[in-house]
Amino acid sequence: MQISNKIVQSEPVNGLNFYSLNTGVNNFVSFKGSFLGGKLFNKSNKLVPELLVEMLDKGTKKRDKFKVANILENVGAKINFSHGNYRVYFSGQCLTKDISMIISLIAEQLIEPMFNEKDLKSVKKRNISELINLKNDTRGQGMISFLQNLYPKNHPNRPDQIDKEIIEIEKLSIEDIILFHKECYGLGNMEICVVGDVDHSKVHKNLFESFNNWKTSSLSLKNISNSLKSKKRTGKSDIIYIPDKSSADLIIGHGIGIDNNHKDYFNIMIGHFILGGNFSSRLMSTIREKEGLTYGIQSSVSGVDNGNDGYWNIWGTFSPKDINKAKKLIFKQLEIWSQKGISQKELEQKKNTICGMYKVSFDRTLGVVARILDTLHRNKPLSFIEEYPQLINDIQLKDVNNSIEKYYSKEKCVIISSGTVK
Amino acid sequence: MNKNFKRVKQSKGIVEYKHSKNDLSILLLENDNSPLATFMITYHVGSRNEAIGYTGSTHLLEHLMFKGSKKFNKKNNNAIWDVLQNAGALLNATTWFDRTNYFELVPSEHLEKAVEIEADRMRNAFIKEEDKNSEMTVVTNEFERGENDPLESLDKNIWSTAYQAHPYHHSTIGWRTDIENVSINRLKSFYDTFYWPNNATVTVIGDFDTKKILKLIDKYFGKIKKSPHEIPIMYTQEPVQEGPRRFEIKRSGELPIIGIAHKTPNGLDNDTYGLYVLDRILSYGKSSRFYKKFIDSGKAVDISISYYPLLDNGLFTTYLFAPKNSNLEVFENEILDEYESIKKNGVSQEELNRVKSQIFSQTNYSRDGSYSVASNLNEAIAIGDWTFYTTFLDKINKINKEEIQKIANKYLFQDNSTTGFFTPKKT
Repeated sequence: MQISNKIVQSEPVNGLNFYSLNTGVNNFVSFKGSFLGGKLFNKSNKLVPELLVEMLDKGTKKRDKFKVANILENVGAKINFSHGNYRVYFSGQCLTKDISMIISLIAEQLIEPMFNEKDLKSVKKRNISELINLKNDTRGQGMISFLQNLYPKNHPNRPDQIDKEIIEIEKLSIEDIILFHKECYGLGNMEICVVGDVDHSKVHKNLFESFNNWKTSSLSLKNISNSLKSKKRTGKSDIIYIPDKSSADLIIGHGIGIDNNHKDYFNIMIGHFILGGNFSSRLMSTIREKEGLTYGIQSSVSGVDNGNDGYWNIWGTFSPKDINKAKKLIFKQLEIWSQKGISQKELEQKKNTICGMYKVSFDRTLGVVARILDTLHRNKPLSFIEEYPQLINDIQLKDVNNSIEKYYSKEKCVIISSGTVK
Repeated sequence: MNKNFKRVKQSKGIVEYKHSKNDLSILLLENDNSPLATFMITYHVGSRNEAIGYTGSTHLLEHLMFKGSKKFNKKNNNAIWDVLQNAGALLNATTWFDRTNYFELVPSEHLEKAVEIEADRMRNAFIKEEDKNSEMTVVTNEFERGENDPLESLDKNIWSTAYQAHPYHHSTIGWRTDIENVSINRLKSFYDTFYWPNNATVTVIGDFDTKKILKLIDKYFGKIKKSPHEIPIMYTQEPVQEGPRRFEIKRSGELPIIGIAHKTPNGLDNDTYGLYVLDRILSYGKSSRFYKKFIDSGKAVDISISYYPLLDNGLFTTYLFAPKNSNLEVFENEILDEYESIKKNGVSQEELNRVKSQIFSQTNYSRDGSYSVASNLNEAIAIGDWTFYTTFLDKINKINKEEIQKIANKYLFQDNSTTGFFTPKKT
């Protein structure tokens, strides 16, 4: 499947990069774009960048929020704004005939948003309620505790306590939102990708006209220090008690100290895929299939983007009465996995699985657009889209087994049980 | 064309065939946008075919269908998950009120394997006692996960209060004690009653050649005979509701939730289209009435309508998450006020036009990818006519605002309602 040589790329202007890919779909496109402006760029209150993103659909200086909504909904289009640690994202689908209008509207929303006190008050109230509701979520609470045990304050992989986030929301003002937008939003690091029934030159013209006069952002990934490393701690076991829950969540894992550009990354990633990456993984075959203890259990490596030292974790759900039995069985599997390693046959099978899954992820234009942006965010050339399966196929058994041994330590494991457990 | 197939009809590029020997229905849509294809088999059996004592059986059986069949099993070193996942396939199965479906999204070169596996497990699945015992606890944990979610608990209770005789009374996952105690013989009997070619529809969407795929379907499914018995008809109908129903769940939690449901007609009824438009006018997007009234104003945390066409009657349910410590009766009155406004004053042409445009665009988006098309067709097959998917847009376009008002008056009245509160218990 050759894609990269079919992607059309415009010459970047002021750090605005535009990519498009024409596929066989008719009459519609999927689009996604991003720029720096995520929550790590505001050290004093991470909630400012988050809530700013939620204010982007509340109207512009030219049109109020209902006019904006009407324009979109009258043509059946949607623009979703979202945020991560580093980036602000916008994405959606629209009919081909409407893409120029949608691009112009996105530009208007980003460049001249209408920020007002009344809308912020409503956004704050809703966010606080959603956070309160999260206190009842066994998995969400378990993961917060797990990551706080792994990472020090201000590390990109460390979430805050819900109560602290609520206080930060209560504190922030419309002036904070306006200031962050003024100081941080702008061109310089923006990518936009449109996939589907798309005419590149037409969208190009409209895009560069729409963003032509926007200022350049001062943000750079270099502003974000990733010198903080995970805590050098020995293992710990914690219980997060939430009443009246029929199912409990169990999370086990620890930091690995490497990012996704490290030479060992693909080795440890596939090691965990064999342990708990899909239905035919070791954990699903034993803990679910054989023992019947869980509906789902998985193991994966996360938190490795943008030079961050990541972690591995196993997550599964169990009846509260089975949680200790599950723990013992999981550690038994971890022992077999780390001491005996994986086999050549398993490795070959999972290479086929990962390469096949990768191919299947191109079934929808939304999948293709996400894949292209992901490649760009990893600072890889577009040819990486085709090179990825080869990188997987080049993985060697001895390297996987060495990485499993190197990046697993029973003593370092943090174990969190969350739910109605004692 | 292969002599073992009759071409039945065609709609919007999708062609229906029937196997002349065993009555297996087949829907095909060729599309070479990417070198992928989705193979799906839909059995016309769901939780509506269950009764007390074996609720959840259709779903439990769906789990057992992955435990092995004559050709594909652990002993032969070619278990279903292993064979397909090692080829990179996205595969799974789902159970719903009216149907059970099994699907594989595969690189096209592996399509034959998907056909072979589904044909083998149609009549040769093991359905063994020891597998049931371990899978029963897996499904129990699935049940427990659902119970962790207050909205899911409220939804189950809404259906079981609104439907008392009809089997939509119980959810697809079933009652806990039924999951734990159903016998293997009951599951086997369920399998032997419903898993036959004349009770199934195969759908193939994506990069394939029609002649070749029909040849493959004939090769693997053609040798399976049609059922030696008539497929049983579920004949229970819900008696007319003669007054509003109410209940309250008190459990630990954070936010109060209200659900207000009204009974709706079967999915193929012409009023389905008007109800679909009404749902969107009320709840879809930032121009919708509920968004403006409850979300933009900051009064509520979230609001949505759950409405989907079914083979038999359904429910049109508004769910609202309120801020902590709210009085749900206030929200109940505000939701009902909006219903009354539409019943009395109707909707505007602008609202109707907006929703029609949304549906037009989304119908286009729904053709994005082979799995997406197959998945949409699956729900249309389940309600009894796959052309519901292909003719949907034309029917929506014929709706006028007078019909919306008429439909609101016809279904959204008090005696047809079931209202449930989820009230967080202080701990």
